[in-house]
Amino acid sequence: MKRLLRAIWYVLQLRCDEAERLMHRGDETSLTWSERSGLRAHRALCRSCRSTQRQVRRLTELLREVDHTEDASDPAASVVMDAAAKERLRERLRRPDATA
Amino acid sequence: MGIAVERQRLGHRPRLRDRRLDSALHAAACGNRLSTEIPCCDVQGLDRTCDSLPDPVPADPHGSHRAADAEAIDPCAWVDRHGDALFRFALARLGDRSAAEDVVQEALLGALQGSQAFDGASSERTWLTGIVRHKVLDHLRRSSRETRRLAAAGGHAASCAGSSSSAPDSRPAASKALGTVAAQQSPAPSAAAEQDECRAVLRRCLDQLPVAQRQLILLREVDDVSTETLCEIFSVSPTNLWTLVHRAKSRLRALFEAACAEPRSTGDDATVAHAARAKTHGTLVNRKLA
Repeated sequence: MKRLLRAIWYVLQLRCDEAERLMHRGDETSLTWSERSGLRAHRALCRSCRSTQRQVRRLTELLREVDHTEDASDPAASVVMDAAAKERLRERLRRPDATA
Repeated sequence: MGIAVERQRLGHRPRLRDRRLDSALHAAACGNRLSTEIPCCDVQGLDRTCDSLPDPVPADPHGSHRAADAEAIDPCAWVDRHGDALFRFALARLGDRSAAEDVVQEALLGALQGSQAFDGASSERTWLTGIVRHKVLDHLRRSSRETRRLAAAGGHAASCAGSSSSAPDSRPAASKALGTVAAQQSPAPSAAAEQDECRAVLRRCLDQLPVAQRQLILLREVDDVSTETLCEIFSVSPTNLWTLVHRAKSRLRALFEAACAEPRSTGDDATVAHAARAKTHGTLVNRKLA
């Protein structure tokens, strides 16, 4: 009963910015019971936060795609290791103690 | 008893590695999302594998293949084939060229020493990227520990000196995370932007984020690093970490919104503040992220 009242109070006083902060944790298992139920109830009531949740998820998916795909046309793909650093690295890998 | 436990431990390690390679293979097949397949609890085990290989490899039907692969491995070819990609991967997370070069070197040395563990189940790039990922975490942990140690030993001045001498841009401090955004031109995509355009815009937005915020987002959202590890790296409590994650993601979202909504926008603070105020739920962003 106490838990339920606490959850109801949490839903009543949960603002959108606080709900967004909870959403950004991503993993709902890291939330407490009242936070989780409060967030779910808030999402059920607030259309804007449902939209935000979708955006946060999509942004995370996009981030993973961006990180794991190489786009040759992207300026970031032109960032390369210095030739001198590569040569140093090759030297280091050729040393006999490299495999030790 | 101890021997039995040790045998059991050694017996489990190849399974751990196989699991990683299975997920790497899956990632290679899918083209992305390697990290989502690797549980965070594997980080320590993989670190051990990277640092201390070669380890006792139990007899298995693939042993002969591994030996043949080890003979065929040319570490200098790794530098040519994967050096730049690995460097970009490390640079995105560390924000410091020399630190990224060091990490790539450590990773390639670790890979060379543990090359017998690679049975070709995943692509070479995937395997090496996995090693670089764990070396990056090692590096961040080390620099965080070093910063804390110097702070404890010599007070604030020593702390600042230590952080600037070891890894100037990679120090993940909360104050730095909230620093200025590098002003940079970011042409927004057209209204009919496709998925590739979204990615390109997001790349630019990521580049505009402060190093520490970018680091946090990549480690947390892309690499699925555990909360405990992140708290250790960033030297903050879990509550503070969530606040930092929230701020970083909100800022990224605001930058993304600004880039999508305003064709002539620049990535300065005024734009970010404006975008945050605008709260454009019904704009182009909704269509892009829907």
